[in-house]
Amino acid sequence: MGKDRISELHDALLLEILSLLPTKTVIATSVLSKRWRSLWKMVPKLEFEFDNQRFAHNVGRSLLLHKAPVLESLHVTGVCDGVDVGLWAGIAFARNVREFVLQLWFPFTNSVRFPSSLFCCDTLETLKLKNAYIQIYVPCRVSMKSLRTLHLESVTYKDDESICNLLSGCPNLEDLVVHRGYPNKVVNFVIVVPSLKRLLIKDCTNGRNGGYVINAPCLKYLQIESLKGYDEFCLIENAPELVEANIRNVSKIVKENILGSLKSAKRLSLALSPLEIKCPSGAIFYQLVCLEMYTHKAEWWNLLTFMLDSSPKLQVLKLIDQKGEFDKEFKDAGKWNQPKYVPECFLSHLEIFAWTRYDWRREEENEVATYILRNARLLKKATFSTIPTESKEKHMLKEMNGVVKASNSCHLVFE
Amino acid sequence: MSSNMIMLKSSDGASFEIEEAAARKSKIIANMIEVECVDEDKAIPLQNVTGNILALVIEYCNKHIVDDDDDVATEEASEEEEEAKKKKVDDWEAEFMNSMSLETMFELLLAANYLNIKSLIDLVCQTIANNIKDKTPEEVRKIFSIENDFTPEEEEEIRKENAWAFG
Repeated sequence: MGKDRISELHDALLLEILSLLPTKTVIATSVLSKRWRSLWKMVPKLEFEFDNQRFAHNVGRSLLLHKAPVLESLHVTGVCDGVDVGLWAGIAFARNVREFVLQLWFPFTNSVRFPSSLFCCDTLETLKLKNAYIQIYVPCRVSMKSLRTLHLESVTYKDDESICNLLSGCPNLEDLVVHRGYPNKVVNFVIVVPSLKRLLIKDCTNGRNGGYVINAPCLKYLQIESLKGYDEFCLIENAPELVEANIRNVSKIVKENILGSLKSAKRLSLALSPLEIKCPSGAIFYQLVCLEMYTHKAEWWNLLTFMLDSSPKLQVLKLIDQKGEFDKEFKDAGKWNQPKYVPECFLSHLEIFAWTRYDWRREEENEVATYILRNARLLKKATFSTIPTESKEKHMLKEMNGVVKASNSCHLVFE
Repeated sequence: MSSNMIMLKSSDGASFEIEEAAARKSKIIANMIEVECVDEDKAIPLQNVTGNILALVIEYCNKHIVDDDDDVATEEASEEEEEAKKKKVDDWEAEFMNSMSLETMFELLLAANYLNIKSLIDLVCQTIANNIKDKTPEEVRKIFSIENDFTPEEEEEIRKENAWAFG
C-alpha cells in the first residue's frame, strides 16, 4: 500500500479539491477516515442536485450542519417548495453568500416569491435564477452593492416597478441576462444600469403593447433574440462603448431604430429581415470591422446592401445559411438591389469573405457572390462552402473561378 | 531571445533557465522580480521544490505563457479560433496530467501552492477531484491509500447520519 498523500494536505488545499465536487460526493468523504470526518462542513462551495423525493429536506439539513463562515457559492437544482427557498436563502444570507444559483421546480404551487432578504445582501456577487417559477416582487428600493452578474431566466415579475427597483439597487451590475416567457405581467421593461457591460435578452412573450427601454452607456456586448411584435418600442439609448452585438429573429419593430443604436459596434451578427426591421437611413457604422449575416431571412440581401453601404471600414464579411434551403423563410424572393455605387469598404478594407452553405442554385445568392468578387479590390481570401458537396455543385463553384475578380491577389477556397 | 531569461535553482541544486514572462506565472517569483530586482547572474533558490518537479512546473508555465496576451488578441480573433485554441490547451493539460503518477501529482500541487501559481493549483485539484468523483468511499480509500481508522460502529454511525449521500 502506498503512502496516503492526500490526507497530508493542509485543509486549505483539501477544501479546494472538495469545492470542485458535488456536495453529495463531498459529504460521502466524511466516512473515509477521522481526518475527513468534518471537512465537508467547511467546504465553501455547495452544489446540490436533485436525486430523490427527500431532496429538499436533505439540502436543508446539510445547510444547517454546514459551518463555513463564508459561502462562496450555493447551487441548488431540483424540486422543492416555496418554504425551502426561504430557508436556503436565509442561511445563504447569514453566511455572506457570494454566488447563489437556483434552478427549481415547484410541483405544488406555480408561483413562489423570491425571498426579499437577498435583495439586501451586500456580499452577493452573482445571482442566477433559472427556469424557476419564481416571482420577483420588489416593492421598494433594495441594495445589492456587490452584484455583478444577474441572470433572470423564465422568472416572472409582479409589475414594472419591481424591475426598476431591483435594477436600481445594483449599482455595479455588469452582466444581465433576461429570458422572458409566460405568464407576463410586465408592460415596460426598463433597464437603466450605468455600469452594465453585457446584456442578453431573449423574449418569448410575443409582445403585445409595451416594450423595452435600454439605457446602458457602458454596454460592450449586446444580444437580443426572438423579440417579436413590440409594436410600441424597443429603445436602445446611446451605447458608445458597444463592441459586439448579436441580433437574432427580431421582428415587427418597424418604428424603432435597433440597428441605428448599434453604430459603434466593431462586430455585428445579424439574423434579420429588412422587411421586418427598419434600416436607419444615413446611419454609418464607422467602427464595424466584422459583419456576420444569416441568409435564411426574407430579402436578407437587401439588408446586406444597406450594411455594405453603411460600413466603410468593413474587413470581414461572413454569410451563413444556418438551416439549409428548405428552411428559408421565403419562397418567392424579391429581387436583389445591388448597391448603386461600389461600397467604400470594397475599395479600401474588405479582405475576407466567407459563405457557409452557399446555395449556388439561387439566383440572388449567385448575384451577391459574383458582385462581391467583381468589386472587392483588396479581397485576400474568399471561401465558399456548400453542404452536401456534390460533384455537380463543385463544378458550379468552379465557375466562380471564371468571374473576373477585382482583386488580383484573392485566394478562392471551396470547401 | 527577445525576452529576459532568469535562472531558477531547485532544492537539490539543479538550475533551470526560464523566460521571465513564463516565470511570472508564479506570484512569488513575480514578487521577487519586482521587489528584489533579481540579479541576472544569480539563480533564484526555491527550497521547497525538487528538480524533477520544477521541470514540470516550467513546462506548464512555458505552455501557458501566451495566455496573458489573450486580452489583446480577442479583438480580432473569431469565436471558432478562440474555441480551437482553448481545446488545444485543454488537450495539452489532459495529456500533461495523464503523464504523471499520483505521487508526482501531489508534489506538483505542493510546488504550485508554494510558488503560488493559481491556474496550476486549479488544474491539479481538478484532476484529483476527478479521481474522487463517482467513486464509492471504498474505492477512494484504495486509490489514495487512505487508512480507515474508524471502528465499524463509528463508520455505521456516520453513514446513518447522512444516509442520502451514500445512496
